[in-house]
Amino acid sequence: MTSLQDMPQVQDCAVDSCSYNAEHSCHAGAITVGGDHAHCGTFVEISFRGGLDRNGLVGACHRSDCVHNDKLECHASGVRVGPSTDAADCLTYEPR
Amino acid sequence: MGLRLPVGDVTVLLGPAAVRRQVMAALDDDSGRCASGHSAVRVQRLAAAADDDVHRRIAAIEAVREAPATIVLIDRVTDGLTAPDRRAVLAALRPVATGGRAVLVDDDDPVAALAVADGALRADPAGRLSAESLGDLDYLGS
Repeated sequence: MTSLQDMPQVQDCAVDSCSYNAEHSCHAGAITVGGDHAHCGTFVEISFRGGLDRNGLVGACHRSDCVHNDKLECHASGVRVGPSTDAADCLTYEPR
Repeated sequence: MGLRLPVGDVTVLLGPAAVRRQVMAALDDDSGRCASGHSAVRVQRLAAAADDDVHRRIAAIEAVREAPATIVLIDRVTDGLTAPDRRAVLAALRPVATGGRAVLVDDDDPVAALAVADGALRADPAGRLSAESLGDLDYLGS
């Protein structure tokens, strides 16, 4: 078994929002890395439901390469959002 | 607004019972993700029916260990049980966490739940959550 001093150090961490991040250094005792793209698995997050009692709207879209995008506005009849590359991706995106 | 939970730990909700219920009800089971937000993780919520006996409740908890969820919400699974049965059900939560899951517990007897906890979150009357040091609660076990 690998001893503690042989384990690799976290040299830097860019996730400033993590409680264990101080000036880009990880101060957790140890982290776990896993998942489909080797993410830090020491913590997980869950959101609270919130917002207004109606469906949200697409205010703007920066993906000008999407067939539904015209002058940075979405003209799809509706969009679906869900996990893809990230936790919340526009699943209606379609490249031109 | 997100709630960050440590993987491998049992975290117990403290505070007024009604607020704890509101916190559990407000958690979005479809929003589990890794801390960096790049990957979705599954959430499983476990509750018990009033006529579920202790064995059925423990079996349900043990079944979670075979499920792919990374976040497990334990929603008052000991309601209606005697104190010894409650302790037995709560004890079954530890292996769920040590198997690589974050377990959040709301229990009718949060002090009993602290016996198996690694951490605690206190909900104030406004529903705000703050971490509670279990070191401050050591006297409960003395």
